[in-house]
Amino acid sequence: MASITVSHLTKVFPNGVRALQDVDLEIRDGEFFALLGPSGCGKTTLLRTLAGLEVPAAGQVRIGDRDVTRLPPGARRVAMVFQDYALYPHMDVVDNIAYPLKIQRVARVERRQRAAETGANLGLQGMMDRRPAQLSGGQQQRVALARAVASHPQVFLFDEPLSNLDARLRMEARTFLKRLHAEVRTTTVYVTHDQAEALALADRMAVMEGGRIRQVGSPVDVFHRPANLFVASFIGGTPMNLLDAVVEADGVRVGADLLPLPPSARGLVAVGDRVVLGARPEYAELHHQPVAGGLSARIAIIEHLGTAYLVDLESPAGPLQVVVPEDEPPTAGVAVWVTAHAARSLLYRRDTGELIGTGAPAARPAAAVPAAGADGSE
Amino acid sequence: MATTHPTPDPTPVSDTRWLVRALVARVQLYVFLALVAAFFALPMAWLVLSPFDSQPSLVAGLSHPTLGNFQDMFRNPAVITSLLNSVLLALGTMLVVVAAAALAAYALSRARVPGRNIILYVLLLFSSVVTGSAAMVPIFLLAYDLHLINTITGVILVLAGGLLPAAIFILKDFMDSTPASYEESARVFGAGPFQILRDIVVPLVRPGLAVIAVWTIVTVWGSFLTPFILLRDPTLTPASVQIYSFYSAGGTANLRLISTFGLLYTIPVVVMYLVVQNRYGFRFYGGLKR
Repeated sequence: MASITVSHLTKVFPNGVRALQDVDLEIRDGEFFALLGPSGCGKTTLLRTLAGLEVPAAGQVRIGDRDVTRLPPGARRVAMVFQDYALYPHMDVVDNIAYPLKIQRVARVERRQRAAETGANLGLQGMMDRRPAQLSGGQQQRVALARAVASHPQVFLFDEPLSNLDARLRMEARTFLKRLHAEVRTTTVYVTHDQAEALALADRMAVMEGGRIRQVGSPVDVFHRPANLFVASFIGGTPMNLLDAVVEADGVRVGADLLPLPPSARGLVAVGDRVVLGARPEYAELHHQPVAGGLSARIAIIEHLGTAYLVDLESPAGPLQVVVPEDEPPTAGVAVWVTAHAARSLLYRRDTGELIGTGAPAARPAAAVPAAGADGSE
Repeated sequence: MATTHPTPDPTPVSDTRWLVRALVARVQLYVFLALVAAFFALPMAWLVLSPFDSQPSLVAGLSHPTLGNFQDMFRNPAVITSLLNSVLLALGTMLVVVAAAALAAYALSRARVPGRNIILYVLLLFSSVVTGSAAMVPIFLLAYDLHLINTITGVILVLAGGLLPAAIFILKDFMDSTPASYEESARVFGAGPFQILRDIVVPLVRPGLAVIAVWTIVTVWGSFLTPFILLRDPTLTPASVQIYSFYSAGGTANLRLISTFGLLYTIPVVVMYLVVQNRYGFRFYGGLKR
């Protein structure tokens, strides 16, 4: 087990693409750390650089107390699970799991026994003599995990290991991964483009965009206090409503309506500041009568989500979405007024896109964030 | 053929005419195909039948059935020696080609070499020159200076040199189509290049290796010019050159010996082809069945 320290890491591909730009990151010992971002943001490149499969142009990677920047992949004591699992089609399950041990020159009988044990722990008993092609996607994924576990690494590196599974299996595999991590407590770096996966699995996470890290924090931090407009629009099952607004003496003006100033920004903005008001659809409410601090809108489209309705609204300030509980079925076409939980609303500078407000994780010293992610103090 | 549109709607008369015409066309096609088939099948029939005829001619047939030809042939000690020499030559060249092509194709498939494809195409182009008749004099001189005249090693090296570019070309395609993640995961677990080649890449491209191995054996088995020029000692002569000795000094062919030896010479290649086809199946492209 080991911590990982990345400093000033820069990676430039031969075609000139700057995949990583001066990345600094600290991953703690035993932590489940998610790297999240849209495709092309550099998350996989960062993971591959940790593995040693990519050589950085500048910067340093430390695993534990060793500088591994110039070490070949095999000398770093990491194990990687690939998106396509990279199971060897010509070996059966035991040989696949035992392959790292074979490289470590463990004797054949012992490595097969250890592989069988690891496989059994991961629910693969009875499949040991099958070929990967004879396994389901979920089983293949477990074999890949077992192979990583069997090699006893200091660090697990996961490159979107769940993205080749169908939706139901993915949920099961997610729980399985979390349980596995709770058991082995090996430092884990997990790359994903699925924000729900990152929020569900990670102790802490980093959101990346364009080769840079845009926010680091616990899932609760990142969900409740996205540090900038990019993270705000990227995180969340339904995208956050982001409305252009101007600060006035007694609130923020959105279009013709005056909304209350989010308490987190109180005292940090001046009248006339151009800002963006952010409120998640889950933290907004619909009213059928005009209310103070409400935004006037009209219901355009209603999507049924099972336990709730996602209502698409048209307002003078632009389109927005609100989640409504299932026992209040809305009607399309009617005029409504929207209020947002003031305590859950956020204000961003329109020019820089940065969050306004104290207690934003980016502004907090990193050491002050508890690993358990006990937040919720507004 | 001219198409006829005499009436806007087909009458029973034109229907019959159409049927007759279709029938004639079909008969013509079969006659043509039969002729083509016979053209290729007759030499085969000659090869299979003549060894069992005590007075073979250039006509395929079995006028005087006998097994005496085989007795006569095996009385000639050069026959078995030459077949063994052919086996040695074919297996030796096959080993050199497969080993060298596997290493070269792997390197060319994985390493970033500027102008890699141009190098490959130029090699492929020149390979036909190397074992062709145009380069025979320089090759003879080179072999002479290296003291490789009259050695099996010399013939193996020259033949392998001629076959390698195409073998590398075929094998590189197989290597290219194995996913990089297989090797990357092995690298992360600490495997070195030769371990990866042995444990991962070679098992995955085995169909490709089978293709170039068989192709090398067949080519060497049938090659005449290179062993004919480089080997002077009759005890080293392979079967392909041995056939040439079944002529009298005046140039008359001894058809009994030639046909019998010809059959014997063909059988190993056919058997090998069937065995490999059954066990591995030939594929001339890369890609994996997972």
